[in-house]
Order: sequence, then structure tokens, then C-alpha cells
Amino acid sequence: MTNAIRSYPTTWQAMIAIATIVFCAHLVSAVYRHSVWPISSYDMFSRLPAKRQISMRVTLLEPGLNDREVLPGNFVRIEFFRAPNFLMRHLLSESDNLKRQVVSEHMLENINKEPWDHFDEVLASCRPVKNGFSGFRIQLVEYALVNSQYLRVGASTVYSYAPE
Amino acid sequence: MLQNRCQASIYWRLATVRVLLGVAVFLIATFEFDNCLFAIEALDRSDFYAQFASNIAKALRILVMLLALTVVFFGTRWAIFSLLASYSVLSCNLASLTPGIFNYNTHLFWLLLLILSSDSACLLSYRPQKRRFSHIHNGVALQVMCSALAMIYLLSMVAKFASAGPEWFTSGRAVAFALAQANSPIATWLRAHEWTPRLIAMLTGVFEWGFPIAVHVRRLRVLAVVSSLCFHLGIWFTLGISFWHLWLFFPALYISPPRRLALVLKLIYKKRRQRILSNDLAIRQSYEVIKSS
Repeated sequence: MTNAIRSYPTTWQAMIAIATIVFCAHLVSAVYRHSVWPISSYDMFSRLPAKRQISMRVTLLEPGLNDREVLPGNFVRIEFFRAPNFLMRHLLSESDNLKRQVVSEHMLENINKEPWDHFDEVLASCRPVKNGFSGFRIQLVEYALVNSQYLRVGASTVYSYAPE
Repeated sequence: MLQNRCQASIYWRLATVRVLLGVAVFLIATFEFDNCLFAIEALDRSDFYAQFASNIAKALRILVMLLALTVVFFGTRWAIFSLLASYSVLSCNLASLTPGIFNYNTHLFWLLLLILSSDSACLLSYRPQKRRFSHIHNGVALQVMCSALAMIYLLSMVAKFASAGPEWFTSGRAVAFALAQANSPIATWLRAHEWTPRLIAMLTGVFEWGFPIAVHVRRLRVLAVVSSLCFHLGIWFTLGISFWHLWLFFPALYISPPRRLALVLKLIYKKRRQRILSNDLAIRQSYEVIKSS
């Protein structure tokens, strides 16, 4: 019965060779902190924040209610560590105003009509209380290091979307 | 006998990893892949194109979920290959929305690739597959999986050194900033004590250096697995990041099936015995070793 099994005497050696190449690619990716799918840099929390550090927040506007400030991960249904980059790329850095509006509308519609729950790296969406969110603002919040603690010292709005 | 015991362990572990991989991909496809975002790149082109992309994403997502369940229960090669292909399309598309940013679940892609190139469905399958590769090949595939997951911590350490040097581990600033943005009760308690960020940063360094080494030392393996679970549970309760799809595989990969588990598996496999025994001599021997233990 064993004779019927095909023998691949060198496949395990090829596997080790490929695994070594893949590991080296990951190593380069980790050193340069740049991921190219399926190579990953594993640089989560690797950056050393400055003594005055900026962090992104999203403020959701609901008519008749107080504004609610949430993390970008509570606004975009994507892993929380990708959410700021996502907003930066598709809203803040985007020069085409029409495209920014289309993406903003798309995001707002998604959070109003298809709210989602927390699962692993994807944070739960912020739920509207009454009729849904009518707009949002993206803010850059500034933190300052005081006695080994980061304290919030200021905030500035860099993008807002509030259609009539 | 010793060789057979090792072989038995290899096939049980490969099969367990295959099952867990199917479960992990199923859960990720169900809860994390968002159809809406798939169409983002297409939004500025036309409604038709965006709708088309969104529908394709929905279909792919359902396909991934079905294939993941097929991999769990059957583990046939075409199912693993199809899952690898469809999961890659979805995962790659999601990664393309934020180019250059950490792709946190690519280790599932590599595990799927290794599972595809090994005999993972000889056991724990509704229709056990025949063995196609040598024992050495399957053993190496399992060892590569073990090393690949362990190296993730080393790579994480390298990224921290490349980014900030040893100051990352001595200053505790990165930990303090992460704690400042967390809302859990543990994070609140940790924020209240000045010494905690630095201690956590140092312990992180020790763990990320120690785990890849300890996991390859037989006597330290269980300790390494337990400490990794503690490490990830600590992060989960503090920052809300579980990384379950990584440590889920640790017990199956690093610890051989204990005898009591083998007895449970024997009961499960009582009815499927004949099909397993008809596969080939080596699997039969492996099965008998597990059964007798």
C-alpha cells in the first residue's frame, strides 16, 4: 500500500527554502514598516509617540442631540488601526471634492442603516439615538506627555460633512 | 513505536490546525469583511460599477464562509485551494484600502498555503483523505507553521527596534499613549500609576524575545504557550484587542494531543474507524497509536 503513495523527496526542502524567502520578505517589511499583502510588517504599536502627539477622532452630529466624539474605528467598519489611515486617504488627502462627498455619504449611510457590533479589531459602530446621524466632523486631538501620562490638550477640526 | 507516536501527533495536529483555520476564516468573513468598503474604490466611477463590485463582494463573502465550513468538515484539497483563492481576493482588497498599513491576518493566508501543501485531512474529516506526501514533508510543514507563528513576535520586536530603538522598551511612551486612548477599567487603573507603562513595555520586550526561543525548547513549550495566552488576554482586557486568530492555533501547534484528548477523539471516531483504516498503512499505524494510548 505504501508503494502507491507518490514520493516527493525534495518537497520539504523546497518548503523550507520558500519559507526562508518569505521570512526574509517579512523581515524587510518589518524593518521598513511597510506592508504589501500578503507580507506584513507587524508594526502595530511600534511607533514611539512624540511628547506632543496627535490622534484622530470623529464627531458625529445628530439633530437635536449632543455631538458624540468617537474613535475612527467606531465610524468606519474596518480594523481600528486602519481606520485613521482610511479616513486620511479617502477624505483628508483626497483632492477631488466630489469624491470626498460621495465617500462621506457612503460612510454615513453605512453607519445609519447597517450598524455593526464589536468583533476583534473591528470596533462597534456608534449607534444613532433617534433618526440617524446627519453629518460628521474629523478632528485632530492633541495629547501632551505629563508625568508618564498622555493628557488631552487641544483639538482642531480638519474635515466636516453636514449636508442640508 | 516512537516514530509512529510522532507521526500520529503530526497528523492530529495538522488536522486540528485545519479545523481551527476553517473556523477562524469563517468568523472573520462573517464579522470583519465589510461588503460596503469593497465598493469604495469604485464609487467615483459609476453607480453600476460600484453596485457590481458590491455584489461581487457579497457573493465572495458567502463563498468564503461556505468554503471555510467545507474545510472544517471535509478538508478536501479543492476546498482548501478555493478558500485560499477567495479569501485572498477579499483580504487583499480590504488591505488595498489602506496601502502599506499592517495586514494583521495574513498569517491565515500562509497557514492555508501550508495546510494545502500537507496531508491535513487524513484525520478529523467526514471523508478522510489519502496521504499524498511523505511523513518528513508533513512534519516539516507542521514545523514551518510553528516557526512562522513564533516569528511573528520576533518581527514585531524588529519593527519596534527599527522604529524607535531600545527607547520603546525603556520609556514606556508607546504603552502610555495606547492606554490614554483606551476606555477599559484596567486601562484606567494602569493610567493612574506612573510606573505601569514602563513595566509593561519591558515585559513586552521580554516576551517578544523569549517566545520564539522558548517555543522551540521542549521543556519550555507549555510555559511559552501559557505566557502567550496571558499576554494576549492582558491586551484584550486592557485595549480590547484579542488577536484570537493568532493564539487560537498555539495549543494545537505547540502541544501534542494529550492522552485524555485522544480518548475523546477515539470515541468520536468510533464509527469512522473503517474509513480511516482503509487509507494507508502509515495512517493506520498512527491511528492505532492514538487509539492504544
